[in-house]
Amino acid sequence: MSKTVDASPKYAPCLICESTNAPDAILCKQCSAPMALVHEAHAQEREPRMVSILGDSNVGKTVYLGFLLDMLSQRANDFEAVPRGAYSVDLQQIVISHMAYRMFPPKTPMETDEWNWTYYQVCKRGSSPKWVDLVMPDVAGEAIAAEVASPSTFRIIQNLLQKSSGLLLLVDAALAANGSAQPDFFALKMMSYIDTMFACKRGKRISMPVAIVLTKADYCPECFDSPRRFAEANLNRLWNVCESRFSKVEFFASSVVGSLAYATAGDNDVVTPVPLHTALRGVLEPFEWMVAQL
Amino acid sequence: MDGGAAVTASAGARVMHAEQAVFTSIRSPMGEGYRIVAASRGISPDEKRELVQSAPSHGSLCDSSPRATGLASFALNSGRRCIFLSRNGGTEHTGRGGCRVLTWVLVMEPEVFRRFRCDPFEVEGVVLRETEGKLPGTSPARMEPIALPAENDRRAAHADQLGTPPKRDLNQVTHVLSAMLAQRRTLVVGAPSPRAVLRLVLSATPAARRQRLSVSYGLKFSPGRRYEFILADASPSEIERVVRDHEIDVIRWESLSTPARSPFRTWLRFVRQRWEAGRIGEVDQLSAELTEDCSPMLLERIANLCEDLERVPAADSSLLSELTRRHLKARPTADVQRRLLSEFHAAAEARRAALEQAEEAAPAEGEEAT
Repeated sequence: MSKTVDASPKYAPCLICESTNAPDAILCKQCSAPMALVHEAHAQEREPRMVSILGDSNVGKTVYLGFLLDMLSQRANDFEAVPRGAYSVDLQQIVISHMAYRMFPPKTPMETDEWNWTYYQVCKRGSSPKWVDLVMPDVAGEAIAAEVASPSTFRIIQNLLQKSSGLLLLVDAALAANGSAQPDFFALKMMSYIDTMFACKRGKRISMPVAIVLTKADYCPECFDSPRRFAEANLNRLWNVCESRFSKVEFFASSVVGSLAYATAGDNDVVTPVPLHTALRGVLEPFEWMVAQL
Repeated sequence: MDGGAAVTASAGARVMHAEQAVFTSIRSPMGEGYRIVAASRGISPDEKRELVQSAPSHGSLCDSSPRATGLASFALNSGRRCIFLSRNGGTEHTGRGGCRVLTWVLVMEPEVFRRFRCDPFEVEGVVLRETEGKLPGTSPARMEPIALPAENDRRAAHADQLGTPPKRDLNQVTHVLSAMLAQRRTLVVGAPSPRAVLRLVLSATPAARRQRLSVSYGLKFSPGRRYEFILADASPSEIERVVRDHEIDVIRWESLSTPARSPFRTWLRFVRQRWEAGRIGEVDQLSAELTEDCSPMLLERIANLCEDLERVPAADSSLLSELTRRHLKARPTADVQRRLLSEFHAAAEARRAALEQAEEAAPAEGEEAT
C-alpha cells in the first residue's frame, strides 16, 4: 500500500476528506485535519498509513496515545520514531506534563479543530528495518459515540476509518470487570459500525487488523494473565463479533497508572482521581503487533 | 419532524411552544461524556444530529469562569430555529479539569421565532422568566415542550434589559452593526462585553435580517459552528488560523479604525444618534417592525422619515413646506414606512393648522396692542 502521493501542495487536497484547500491553509476547512499532514506526506513521497485509536469517552485514549508516542520517541524496545512537525509532539507533551503534575490531561473536546494529530515515521530496528509513516489522531470519545449512533454526524470519523490501515480499539477493562455492560456494548457498536462500513460479503471476514486494548487493567490484574480469556468472559458480545466478522484481531491488556488517589474539594462533591505515579504496562505491545500487520 | 409539526404558533395564539433538550456531559448507565442527555419528543433525529455537530463541548466557552455564559441562534436544515443557551455548570465529573458546559437547546418553528421579533435574547428572557431564572439540571428525568407566554407581557421586560452603550464604545458598536447589515461572515474579537454588544447590534438590525441570521457570543470559534456573526475571544494564532482557513472578516475591537463607507450610512448615523440620546428602545421597536427585506435605500428613507417626523412640531412654515414636499411623492414599500408616513402627514397637518392659527392670532394681538 506504499504508493506515491501525487497531491500537489498547490491544490492541497486534505489527506482525510480530500476537500480542496487554499495552499496556505492550516486546517482543512471541511474536516479540520491539519494540512501539514498533506505537506509532510508530499515531502515523503509515499502515502502514510493511518492507525485510528478509538474508544468510548474517558476510556483513556489520550493518555494511551501520549505514552505510546513518548515511548516510541524514547526508542523503547528497539523502535525509532521521528515526529514530522512540532504539532505531532503536542499530545505527548500535554500528557507527560500533566501526569508529571499528578493530573490526568484535559478532556478532548468534540470540536474537530481541537483534536491533536500526530504524524510519526516509525521503524523497528532489525536486520531489515522498514520505515512506516503513521498518522494517529486523538479523537474525542463523544464524537466517536455520536458517529456510531448516527452515522455522518462526524463525517471525519467515517473518512478516517475508511483510510485506516489498522485500528486500536480501547475498552475500559476496569468497568467491564466491575460488571458494567457499557464497555461491551460500546465496543460491539463500534465493531458493527466498521463491519457495515466495509460491507464484506457474507461469510467473508474483514481483514483490517484490529488490536483490542483493555485499558486500566491495573484494576483487574487477571486481565494481564490472559487478555483473550478476560474478553471472552467479560466482553462476550465484543468477543463474538470479532470472532465472526474480523480475521485479524488480537487482545492486549494495558495500564498506565501505578497508583491512584482520590481527592474532593471542599465546595463540591466531585471526586478527582489523582495519578500518584505511572507504571507503564502493555502500552507498546498492541502497537508492535499493529506495525507487524501493516 | 414528526412531533415537531404539532408545536406551532397560530397567528393569534396567546401561548406558544418550543421543543427543548439538554446537551452536556454526564455519566449514566447509557454512556459517558457530552451528548443530548434529555430532549422533548418533537426534535427529529436529523435535528439532533445537527445539534450534536455544533453544540459546545468541553472548554468551548470563551470564559472558563464558573459564571460564563454563551448563546447561539441559527436555523436548522429543517427550517426551524435553534437557540443554544450555554453556561458552565460545575466541575466536570471525570475530574480532568475545567467546567462542565451545559447547553439548554430550544427548537421552535419560524413563526414562533417571528413572534419573538426574531430576537434570541427575547426568547431567552421569556424562557428564563418561565423557569424563574433556572436552566434545566444536568439530567432532567423527562422533557416536554416549553410553553412561552403571550406577547404583551414580554415587551416591557425586553425594553428594560437593553442597556445604553458607553460613549467610548459607540464607534465600535456602530462598526459592528455596519458589518452585520453588510451580510458578510464576521468574527468580532476582543469586545469588552460581547453579550451586551450583540444584544445592542441585534436590536438595531431589521427583523427581516434577524430572521435569517445565525449569531453567537461566548462560544469559541469552531468550524462546526458555521454562524454568520460570531463574537468570541481568540488568541492571535487562532485568529490567524481562522482567517487563513475560512472566508470570514475579523473585527478586532481594540484596533477598529474609522468605519468604511457603508451603503447603510444613513441608518447607521440615525441609530448612533438615537443611542447617544439613550433612545435604545425606539430603535429596537423600529427594527422589530422591519419585517420586509430591507435595502440600504429603504433604511435610509425610514431614517430620514423618523428624523423629519421629529422636526415637524418645531418647524416654521417654510421648513414645514420643505419637509412636506420631500415626502409628498413617497411610495411606501414597507408597513413601517406606511405608518411613519401617515404619522408624518398627520403631524404636518396639525403643525400647519397650529401655524395658521398662530398667524391669525398674531395680527389680532397687534391690533389690541395698538
